[in-house]
Amino acid sequence: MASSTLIQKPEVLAPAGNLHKLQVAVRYGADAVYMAGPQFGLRQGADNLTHTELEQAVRFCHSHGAKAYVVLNGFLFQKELQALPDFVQFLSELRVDAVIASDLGVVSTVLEHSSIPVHISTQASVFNAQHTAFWAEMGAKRVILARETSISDAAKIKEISGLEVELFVHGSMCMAFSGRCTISNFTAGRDSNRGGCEHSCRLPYQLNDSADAHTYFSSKDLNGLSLVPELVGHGIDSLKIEGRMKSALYVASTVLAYQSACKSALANGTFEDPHFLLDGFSHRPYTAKPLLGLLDADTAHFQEQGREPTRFALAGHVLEQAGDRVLCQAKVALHADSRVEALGFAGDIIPLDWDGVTDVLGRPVQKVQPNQMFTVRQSQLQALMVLRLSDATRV
Amino acid sequence: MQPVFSLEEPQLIPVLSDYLNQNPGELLLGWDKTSILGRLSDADVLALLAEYGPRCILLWDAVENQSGLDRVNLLEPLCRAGLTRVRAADPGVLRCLVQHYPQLELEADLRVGNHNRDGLARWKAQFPQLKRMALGVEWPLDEVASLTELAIDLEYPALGPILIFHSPRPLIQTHLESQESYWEGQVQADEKHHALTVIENQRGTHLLYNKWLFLLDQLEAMKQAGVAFMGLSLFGISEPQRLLHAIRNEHADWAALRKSLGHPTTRGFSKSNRTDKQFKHLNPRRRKQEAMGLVLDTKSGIYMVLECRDRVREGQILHFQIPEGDWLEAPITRLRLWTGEPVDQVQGGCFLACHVPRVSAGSLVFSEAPDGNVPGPDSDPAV
Repeated sequence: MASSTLIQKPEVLAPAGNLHKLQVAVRYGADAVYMAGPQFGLRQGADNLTHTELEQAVRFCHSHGAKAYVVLNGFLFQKELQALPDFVQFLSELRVDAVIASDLGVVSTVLEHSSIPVHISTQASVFNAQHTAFWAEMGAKRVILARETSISDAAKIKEISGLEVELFVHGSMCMAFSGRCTISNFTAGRDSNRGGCEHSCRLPYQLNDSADAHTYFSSKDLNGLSLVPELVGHGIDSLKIEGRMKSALYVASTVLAYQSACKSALANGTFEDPHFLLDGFSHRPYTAKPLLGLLDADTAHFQEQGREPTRFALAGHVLEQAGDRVLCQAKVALHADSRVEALGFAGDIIPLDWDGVTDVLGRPVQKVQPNQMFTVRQSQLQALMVLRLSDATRV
Repeated sequence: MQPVFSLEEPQLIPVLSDYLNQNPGELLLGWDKTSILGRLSDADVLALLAEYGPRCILLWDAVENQSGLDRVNLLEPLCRAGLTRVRAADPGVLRCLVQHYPQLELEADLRVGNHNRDGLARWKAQFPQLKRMALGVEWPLDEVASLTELAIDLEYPALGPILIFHSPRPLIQTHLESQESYWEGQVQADEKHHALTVIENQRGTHLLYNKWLFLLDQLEAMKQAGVAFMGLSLFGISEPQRLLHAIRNEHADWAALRKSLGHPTTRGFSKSNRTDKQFKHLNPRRRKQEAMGLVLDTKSGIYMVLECRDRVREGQILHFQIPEGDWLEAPITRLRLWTGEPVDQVQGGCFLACHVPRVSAGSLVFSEAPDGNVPGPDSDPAV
């Protein structure tokens, strides 16, 4: 590990599937967020951001001291590349902090038309220092290493190449090398490397003549929280959280957990386990093995193992604040007996006081429906806080 | 067009030997040390190099981790045995080869994720040593034609299995209490899906598409596109001799031959690649491109809560696209802050107004009618 005098806190990089989730990520402490515009990304099913929203997003990030990265990580055809310079120019004017790309044609175009730093996407399957040097010669600033890369290999790659390195530390994982899987292309006619992944690897498959079907190719979710001291000690520059399609509760909880773990690791070298945050939302069984270089069958998630029990569900959001009154939107049905709590920006828990709940016309209510707006008189609540519901009291 | 035979299995050596002894063609050696699906041993590779010398190309299509790059040292005896060319997919491997064996001729395996001319031009600029680019089936042939300006030999796959999934993890045999160095079987998701060949070997677990690529009846189109080399694999072909005979004669009954392969066949994306066609169905909400806001909540006939980016005035005509796709226009009346205070205008954010019939939560709000500047119901979303 690097000498303690040289150790810096790694960036905690959060997914931003839309403007709201971006703002949530930043308010809960993300050092940087990654998002997609209307084109060129890999999550055609996500809301993604319009040009106007991108502008708002970058402004919001910078006003809160966070960095804004825009993904351009699809593999493009020549005709699609023609539209890219204008978008790059737009991103340059917004002063985005980096773009994330994997296609050589895209990287070349970005470097030719702007001075925006380029981070090489995990789609490029960068797995060794020589490959990293290839991108360094191209002018890249950072590589997001293949999801199969161990922490120790990442440190070596950084040392040899001199480039910043970023590792996925949390979330859903591809079982195949990212960027080299084309199941969707052929079986569903949807290009997985341009945003149409059908997640065929998650299906149960019958093997030969067996009557039973198992999810042989479905990966467990990555959870590198307990390895944060190693990640910090090895000088990994950025810890990436997967999940632009996931909920604001997921974003808030993961950012809090990884920031807490990083600060704890830096402060005294000890590790305070904020795992309780990472069990607060639905997920597959966790594994940290890829970060240790252990790529075996145990990293697969057999469907009969089920998903891990969740302690909380997303209950809603705090949208706006006026004095001690806040406007909230429910995401699920809530009633007076529901145990709803706000996740504070510092990880503190603020129970919702149902006595102050009214509809938007100011009338006290005993229950609210999914998507219904309601107001609460509770001064600790702030706009963009996430409300969660104890699963035990779910309607 | 020159055939390039991908040789993954040692049992095909005698089959191909007969052909190669009498016809032009090259051999792509699937060495078990460097190739994803290759099963050729050291002895096989050395023997083939001895027999065919410069007609051999060593395939290194595996993506390597840091220690995997050390395999570059394993090539020394092969170079002494006459290896002159290597084809690699990982740019890190190519760089290693340039440094360790500057005398080797290099080829780029660009089967996945490389389908624009600018990217290929950059490959060439980064590796001036490259003699050939082996393209993937995601390239429509009419677009391949535009690559002639790169002034590099192009190879296009014409026959063989299509690798669609490649994981470095051994995922199957552990459940079978089996430990074979090479294991092959079939997996099937359900009755709607076709069975796929699954292979587990020293490089992990791999899936092959149920249809084999067959473009032997498209050789003229490949030539027209400027392709100089056709990639052929006899892997899994039931009557390889018959196939080789047909290739030798170039004007075979391709339809009959295709039926005799032992697999259903596909032309891949050689005609066209429209794998983004379904994207508009994945996320209809992308039409909010120019929307100024969203309806968050409604109480029929009483109120609606809107969240808007821009200023809204009492009496202003707004346009709504409801979730069903229809467009409505209506004035904003009884404008209030969400705290209930009546106002003449709001500067964006959340606010209340009198409910507009048919408008429901999730409706998009526009300041202008759906003309050319605003996406309408039939407009194609930006892709």
